[in-house]
Formats: sequence, structure tokens, C-alpha cells
Amino acid sequence: MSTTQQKKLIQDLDQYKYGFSVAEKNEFKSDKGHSRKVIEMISEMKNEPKWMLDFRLRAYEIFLKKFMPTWGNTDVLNAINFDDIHYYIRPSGKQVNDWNELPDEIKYTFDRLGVPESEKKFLAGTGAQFESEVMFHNLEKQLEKKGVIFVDTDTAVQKYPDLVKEYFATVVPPADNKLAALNSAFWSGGSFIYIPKGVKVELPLQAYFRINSKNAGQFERTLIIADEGSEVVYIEGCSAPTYTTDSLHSAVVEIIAKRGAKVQYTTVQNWSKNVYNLVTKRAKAMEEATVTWLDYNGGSKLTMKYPCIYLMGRGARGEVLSLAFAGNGQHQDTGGKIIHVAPDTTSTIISKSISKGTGRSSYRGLLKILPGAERVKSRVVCDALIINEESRSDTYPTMEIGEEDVAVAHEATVSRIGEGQLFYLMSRGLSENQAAGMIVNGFMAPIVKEFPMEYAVELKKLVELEMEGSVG
Amino acid sequence: MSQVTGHKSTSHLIIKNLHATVEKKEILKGISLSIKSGEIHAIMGPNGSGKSTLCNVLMGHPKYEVTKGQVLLDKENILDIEADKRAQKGLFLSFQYPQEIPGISYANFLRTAKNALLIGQGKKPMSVMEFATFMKEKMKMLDTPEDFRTRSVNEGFSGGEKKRAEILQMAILEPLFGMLDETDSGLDIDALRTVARGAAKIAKENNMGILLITHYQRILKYIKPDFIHIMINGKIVKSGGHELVEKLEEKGYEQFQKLNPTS
Amino acid sequence: MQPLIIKKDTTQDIFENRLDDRLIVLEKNAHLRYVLALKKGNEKTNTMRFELRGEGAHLEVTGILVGKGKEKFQFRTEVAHIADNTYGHINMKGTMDDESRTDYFGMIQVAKKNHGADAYLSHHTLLLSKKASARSVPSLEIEANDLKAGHSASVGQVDDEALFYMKSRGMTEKQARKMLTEGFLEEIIQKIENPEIQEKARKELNLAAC
Repeated sequence: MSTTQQKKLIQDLDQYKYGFSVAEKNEFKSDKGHSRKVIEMISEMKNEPKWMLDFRLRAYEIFLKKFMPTWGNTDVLNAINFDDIHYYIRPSGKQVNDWNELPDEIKYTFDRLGVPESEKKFLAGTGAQFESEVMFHNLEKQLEKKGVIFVDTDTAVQKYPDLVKEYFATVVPPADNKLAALNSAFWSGGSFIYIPKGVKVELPLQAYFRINSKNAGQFERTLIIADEGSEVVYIEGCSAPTYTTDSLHSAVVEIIAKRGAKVQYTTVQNWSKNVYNLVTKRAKAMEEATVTWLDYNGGSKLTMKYPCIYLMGRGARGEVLSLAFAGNGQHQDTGGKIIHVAPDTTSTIISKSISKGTGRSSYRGLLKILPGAERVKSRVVCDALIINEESRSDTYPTMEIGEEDVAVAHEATVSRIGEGQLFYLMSRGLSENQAAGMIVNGFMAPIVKEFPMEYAVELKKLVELEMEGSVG
Repeated sequence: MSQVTGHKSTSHLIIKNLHATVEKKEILKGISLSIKSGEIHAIMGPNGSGKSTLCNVLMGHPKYEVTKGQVLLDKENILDIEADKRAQKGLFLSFQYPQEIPGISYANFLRTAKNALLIGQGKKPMSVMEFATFMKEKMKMLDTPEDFRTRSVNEGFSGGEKKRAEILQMAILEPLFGMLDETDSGLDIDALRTVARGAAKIAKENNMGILLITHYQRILKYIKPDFIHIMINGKIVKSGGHELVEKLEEKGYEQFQKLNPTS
Repeated sequence: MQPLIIKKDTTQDIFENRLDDRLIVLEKNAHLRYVLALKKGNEKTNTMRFELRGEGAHLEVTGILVGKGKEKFQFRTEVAHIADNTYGHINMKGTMDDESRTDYFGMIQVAKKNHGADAYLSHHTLLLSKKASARSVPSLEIEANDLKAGHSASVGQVDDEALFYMKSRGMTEKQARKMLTEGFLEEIIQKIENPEIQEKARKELNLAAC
């Protein structure tokens, strides 16, 4: 890489790459604050059936009654002002399946984020949500013919009410936690995916979530049903402009992997540092099914997210691969939960985190084996890298074992960049920062390589840039 | 002491058309072999031909499933009994990768094992003192360092020490048949000589039948086999005498590949 | 609670056979070897807090738990590294039989601006019966970067391969299991430096030296 190129990269780093915004052109924007009235308005504008409105209102009651979580970063959590947020923002224009038909500012945004380019290169289907609504959606024709459904969740409520009714909120009920209740009351957008029996979707499906305006709330709701023996990889990306006021992203994702199905859910989270990212993700894996949560968290002010898998059927497999990068002022409170309900189930949780500057990363996990879940094997590995003296790392893994015939192992390490490694690389001519970047990349590599190549390259670049000027 | 436990009569281990799988993959595809007391058989073959599997199946490792065939020890089918009962009937396996068992001294481990065998064979167990004397005698014979007695079983042992300890176990447990699974691997020339000579001596003194699994010829200098079998892809493709070793030395395993139509 | 203070430049052995709340402070270069040999559980959670307040403070905690009947072992250990070059290692092993249960929370804290901490915690449990259970939360809160810290924990049964190895030597399944279980505990008893305390621990738990 030439010096000028390198300089440019470093400049790019100085401002968060996705921090731009476009002029707001909204059809509707609810006033700040939450109320029954806002919910009724959302439901009416979406022309929803009564059962969904009832569901929202029930969830709202739960939201009002529930306390905030008592774990994670309670100081930051309790500082969230729920009255200072717009709960529903509907951009002008309607959903299209041709990028050129999008309103200019939305098209510009997704172009600049490279979403249409990714679609062309390696995706079988794409959704793009702007504020509260999914503005673009497209799926390969041949997959449609095979019966694959990939639409936004609002469309699913209209077009596939039976499927939605059968599975919606069965994995994450509104009472799961306060933020899941909030999402259930105000949800809008998100992906709905149904893969018929035996269908293997070879290329990934992707949805991109973009917040554009200030003080926005985004509450998408995703539901993936993989029928027996089917396979799918889903990728979500997200970002937002940098503002001095806070935005709230609180999604709910539910996955049902039926017998023998394989689902991989990949997240590349790059929210700007003024976004609270408080997400509930749960999956159920039936007999012989495999669910993988592949999770990268590099953005947001505070992320609290612990993707969960219930291993319900014999021989089911669960995997959480979590990668977190906490830079200045950020707290990544992430991890994974696996509940072994059935015998002969196996699970792996691998977490790698990097804390830089005043960043803090926390691993919070649960590994639970219910009585009767015999011959379970589980392995949890958490490695944390602390770059600077003012960085912080926490590890809170819980193992709750109620069955004798199991093999459970957990390991964690906290370390810094080794002086020996650093010296070795510098003796080969690398600058201290280059060397540090390389070491951090090596540390992350086992998880990064699981991402689709396009994202792996981007993640590596992001980290190298983040590491510029971070040591020494 | 060895009069009490030694065996002068002739025993017979017969393997008939043995098929075995691991995780549904067939590794042994019909092995037949007959070994008598005092005989030394060597099975040679390339990596992955199923040699170690054969040892583990004969010893009763629960990971392997026998799908067909019989293994008779003095006319009794032993496939239905577990590893401890097979050991009590006189089988011994010197493992290629012996387990490390922290917290248990070799002396305690071997006395418990020896007494389980003696009781299983309807004999009187040894007292702590009796066993200490017995073990000392065997250790002396094999030139074993004194600290083996108190060290945890195989924990922190070097490759050579582990193999030497396996042979010491064979000396103490005095089986009818000993299977030596790549006892030569990972040993330098000096260690190989000590271990192999020791094994040969014990085999001779106890009139044992030996099944020697190896990949190289060098151990055959110290333990002279009566029969050589070439194993390829789960089958014995050629049996004979020492002339097979010379053939191997000349042309390697390739010349035998074509003898197994499934490979 | 009145803290127990391990004075500057002294070495002390403490042996305990019951759980209780404790606050122990280690001064500069103080060296504490703390051994817990437990066959009796408790009614409610006890907390043992160790504060490494002086530079060079050195703490080794060995815990051996033998659970039978309906014994419950509910406890927390906290090790706070609040000086430079402190050393705190906790090693716990337990075997839970019948309906016994272990519920353990082990916290390691390394405070800001402390250099050279060496912090480690291990907690390994063998479950010997269908109704035995274990909960383990080995935790770390690290606010410094010049350190070594980690933990490991496991819950399971005796190792299948080791069991096969022992059976192949003629031991019955029962003998082999017993021996592996005792060896599992003996492994950390042997690491206790003071031989008198080793013996005390074995005696307390009715274990023979293996």
C-alpha cells in the first residue's frame, strides 16, 4: 500500500465511515415518546389485522410494568430517555425491487453503503430497511419458485398470516424482557423468511438496517422458519449517522430450525457511537438441526446482546461465535446462551473481544443443561485482548448443570498484546501500530474467517484502521 | 512369584472374519488370524490401514462396533465381554498413546489392576508388601527408574517413558497375549532397544503370544517375529515369514496395494 | 466483619473444613496458602474475600469438595488485586454424589493502574450421580492491561478413554471409577505445599494418598 493510500485510509478512520446522513423526507414521523396512541397509529397505517394490534397493546402493558435489566451496564441503561425517541418514522415512497426506483436520498445512502453492490456480487436476496420501513426487497426468481419466502415482516402479516400467527413470538414472548416487550409493541419492518422442506439456499440472504434521523427508534422484527432439512445463511448489516443525541435500536429475532435444518445468522453491527443497541435474539433447534449465531459487534454506544439457542431435539447443535470490538467510550456487553433441553445435543460458544482506549467489553453467557439431557457436550472459550491501560474487560460465564452424563468445559483468558510478538514483528520492519494491527487481526482470525469473504476483508480493514495510533 | 502366575500351557487366540466400524465407517473388513502361545506375529501396514483399530477392537474399546466375525480365546467368544473381563482372560494392549491419569501413583494403579486380575482368575490378591517386592523385581528386570512407583500414571512422562511403562505393566500383569501397538513409534534408538528387548524377554519368559503392530522394520531387530502379515485398507493381504520384510525394504507397501481389490 | 490481616513479609497456612464468611487482607509480600477441605455444605451463601493490598502479595487457595447426600456448597470467592505484582491463584475441585450440589461464584478483580497481576481461577467438578448438580460462575473484571489473567472450569464425568485404559488393565468399572475420582481430587491435594496440610485434607475427606 502506498503512503498516500495509507494516509487516506487513516483519514477515513478519523470519521466513522458510515457516519453521513441525508435530508429527511418522511411521510410520517410520530412525535417523541411512547403511548397507546402511537401503537394504534402504527397499526392503522400498516392496515394490520386486529390480532396484531391486540398483541402490540398487550406487549405495551408488559413494557410499562417491567423493570430494566439489572445486569449489563445499568448506569447507561438507566440513562436511556424513552420519552426522547421517535418510535415510528415512515419515509416517503413505497417498497420497490429495483434500486433505481428508490427516492434519491435513500438510493444514495444504500449506494454509499455498498448494499446494491453486495447484492450483485454474492447474495440470493436482499432487503433494505430505512428508518422504520423496508424500502427495497428482492429475491432470486428461482428461489421464489421453490417456495422460499423472503419478505419484510409487515408484508408477511398481510400475505402469510397463518404462518406468522403460528410462529410469531413463540421463541421470544413479549414478557421475555423489557426491551423485547418494547419491540413487540412498536415493531416495524425486519425480515420474514420461510425455507420449505429440503430447500438449500446456497447464497446468503441479506438485510441492511439503516437509521438516518436523530433520536430515532428502530424496532425491526425478524422471524426465520427453516423447515425440515432446509439450509439458509442470513446476514444483517446496520449503521447510522453520528449525532450528538441518542438513538435506540431494539430488535427481536426469532429462529425456528426444524428437524435437520441448518441456519446461520450473521451480524455485522456497525452502529454509530450514539446508538443504544439492545437486542433479543433466540433460536430453537429441533432434532438434528444446527443453528449458528455469528456475531460481530463493533459499533454502538452500548450493545447488550446474548444470542440464545434452545436445543430442543435430540442431536441438535448450537454454536455462538462472537466477536466484539470496544473502542473509546463504547461498551460491548455480548455473549451467548445455550440451553440443552434434549439428549445428545452439542454446543460451542467462542467469544473474542478487544477493548481499546476507554472501551469496555464484557462477555456474559449462560450454558445450561437440564436434567435428562444426557451425553451433552459443550465447550465455551472466551478470550479477551486489552489494548490500553484504561481499557476494561469482564467475563461473566454461568454454567448450570443438572445432568450427570455430560462433558462441559469452559476457558477464559485475558491478555494484552505480547511484547515478544510485537518485538518480533517490529524487527521485521513493521511499525508498532502495524504490528499491533496484525496481532489483533491474528487474534480475531478464527472467527473472522467464518464470515463471508467480503465481510471478512472489511472487518480486517476496520480493525487495522482502529489500531492505528492505539499503542505506543 | 512367576510360578504362581506364569502360563506354561498353550493358549490359542483366533480371529475369524472380523469386521468393525467406527462412527459407521468400516475400518476392519474381514480380518482372520490365529495366534498361539509362544508365537510372535507382526502386522505391518501403511498409516490408516486399520492396525490400531484391530488392537482396540480386540481389547474391547466401546467406540468401535464389531459388525461381523468372531474372536475366540481358547474357544471362548470374547466379543461380548468388556475390557476388564478380557484383561482377566489374559489379553493385554500396550497402547500407542497411553492415557495420563493425574493423582494416581503407578504403584497404586498397578496393584489395584493386578489384584483385580488375580481375583478375576480366582486367585489370592497380593498384600501391599508382596506387591511392592513383586513390582521391584519387574522394575529391576526392565531397568525402570525407581521414581516410576510414585509418579502419577503417565502424567508428564516423555514418549519413551510412556512406552517403557506400558511394557512394565505387561511384565506385572503377565497376560497370555500381548498386543504391542506401535510400541516403537516416538522412540529414539536407545529407548527402542531397551523397550523392545524388555518386551521380548517378558514374552519369552511367560510363553506369551505377541501381536506386534508396526509401521517400520527397525523393531523387528529386537523382537523376531515368526509370522509377518501385511495389512492394507482393513484386510490382511499377504502373510508369510521374514522374507516379506525384505520385500518391503526393497519396494515398500505399494507392491501389496493391488492385492486388496477394495483399496 | 473484622478482617484477618496477613502481615508484611510473613507466610501463613490456613486450613478450614467449613464454609464461613471471611475477609482476609494480604500486606506487602505476605504469602497465604489457604486450604478448604469440605464435606459439609452450608445453608446460605458464604463469601470469602481476599484483598491483595500490598505489592508482591501472594495468595494460593486450594478447595477440595466432596459432596454426598443432600449437601449444598454455596459460596463465593473474591480476589481483589489492588497493588502491583500481586499473585492470586484459586484451584477448586469437587466431586458431587447423590443429590449434592455445588453453587460457586468466583470473582477476580484487577483494579485500575495495577501492574503485573497474575490471576487465575479453576473450578472443576465431577458429577457422580444423576441427581447431583453444579453451578459455576468464574468471573473476571479487569481494568488493567499489564497482567496475566484467566480461568477454566469444567463439569462432567470421569474420562471415557481413561476408564477404558484402566479396564484394559483388568480393573472393574467400579474400581476404575473410584480410582479416577480419587485421583481427580488427589491431583490438587498433591499441589498443596505443606505436607501436614495435605494429610489433614486427606484425613478430613477420608481419602487415601494415592
